[in-house]
Amino acid sequence: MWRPDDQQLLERLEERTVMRALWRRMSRGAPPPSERAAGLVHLLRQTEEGARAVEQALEGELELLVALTRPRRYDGLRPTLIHHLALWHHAVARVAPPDAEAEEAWLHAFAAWTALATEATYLRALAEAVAGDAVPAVDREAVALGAPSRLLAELEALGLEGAASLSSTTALALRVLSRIPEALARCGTPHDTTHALAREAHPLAREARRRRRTLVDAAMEPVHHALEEAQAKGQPGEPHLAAFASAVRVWRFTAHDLELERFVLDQVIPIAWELYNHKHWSLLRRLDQTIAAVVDALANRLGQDPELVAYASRVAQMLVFRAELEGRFETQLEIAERALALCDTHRNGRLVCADLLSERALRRIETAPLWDRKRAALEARVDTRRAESLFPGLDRTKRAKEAIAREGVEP
Amino acid sequence: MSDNPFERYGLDPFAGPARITERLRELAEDCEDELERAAIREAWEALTLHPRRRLELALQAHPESRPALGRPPRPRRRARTEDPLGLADLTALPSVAGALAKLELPDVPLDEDEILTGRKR
Repeated sequence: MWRPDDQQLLERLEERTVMRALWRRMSRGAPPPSERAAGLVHLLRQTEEGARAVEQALEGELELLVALTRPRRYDGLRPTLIHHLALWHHAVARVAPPDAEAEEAWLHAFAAWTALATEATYLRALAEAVAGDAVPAVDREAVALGAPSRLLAELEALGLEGAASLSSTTALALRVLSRIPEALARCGTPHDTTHALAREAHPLAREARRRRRTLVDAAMEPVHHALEEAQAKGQPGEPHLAAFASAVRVWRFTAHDLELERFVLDQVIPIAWELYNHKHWSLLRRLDQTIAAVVDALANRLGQDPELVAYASRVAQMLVFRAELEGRFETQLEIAERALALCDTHRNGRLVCADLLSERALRRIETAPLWDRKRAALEARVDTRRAESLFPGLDRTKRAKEAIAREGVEP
Repeated sequence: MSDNPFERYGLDPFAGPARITERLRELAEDCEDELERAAIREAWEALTLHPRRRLELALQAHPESRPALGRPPRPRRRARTEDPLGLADLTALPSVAGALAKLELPDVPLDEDEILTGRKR
């Protein structure tokens, strides 16, 4: 006779089998966790969709079950299920290769722990039952609700190990730490996490930013040393170029860290001026090429973030250097216009742009056929008038105005 | 095998130190391996002497969320028949009879059979 107890035993064996298969799929080969982790499968199969997922898993098709372990939101789930999910994803994150799946595992572990800490009742009850008065209430609370913060600390420690060598584990830690606000959106927290600004202001988001900063600083340490050594050698040269190339490598490694963009700009401006003043055009051109991506990235940010306005003139100056080094006239003017669009009061930008506009005015007249010079002079006048408004009194502007006048057009 | 004593020794985090001690003592008494007994003692110390550690380990242990297992089925008792044995019950099965037919057995009463009595004729 098939008894209810027999059915229960069968289901327990099925859940253990499915849990192990799920673990193999998600951890990609690490030793399985405790049998109690099968409780996760047991809880998931209580819903109609979960029961279907377990049936499919028993036939070797795990994807629906994998999807159920990654809920879009954690608030509203049973605390016991969230506890299972937190431990499950945390364990997967620790053993999986440092790729996109591991990144998801860290983020889900963080979201689950945060959801549990926000709900708080379950963890407080557990702490009370386990430790009672043996642990002071403040400490008990800190241990019980501090898992999200401990996870962030664990990520930082993991990332620090390979920071100087730009390891894939450090890259993973950086990516996860930068996506913490996104993970906060998956769980109900006292802050309104449906809004990006509120998520950024969440204490855990701030902690993630601080820990990410530590990792970036650690990755930059060899670059700082290289720059210091280069500076000690005196005049700008190859060591400076090598140090900036390393800085750009770290910047790419950190997925375009804003602080590094600021750092590069702060460091490069005096060196670029020194090369410019000594007319080391070849080195200046190579320096510009080395850091061009960083300058362009910061230039793109400037239009979107008013807080970066302090960097507008520095970015504009680097673009002016680039404009002056550029061989093609139209591109030169394009770059100079871009510099002015970022910082319309930039003196050198106005000077270079005015000079280039006057040059274009001259070229318009000189290259026009005799029968079309009047129309060319009218077009040139637009350029000289703008040049005068940007930087009055330039010699080239004067010459262009004279050329316009010779064609019978009021300059 | 899990490193977490709550999972490794099937302990309920909600049970408290007294029940944990009792359960680990039972396990230690049943254990014949000295190394395993030392591991149980270590777990006992971690769980009962350091309450903060106990709490940390409880948080890191999967909660037991499966229903408790029921009772195993009773062993089936041998069915008794009320019918007395008949001559047919003593008849060798065809397969046994076939095997026996290949042997040359002595045609003697059972009380004189040398295999059964151990005496040489």
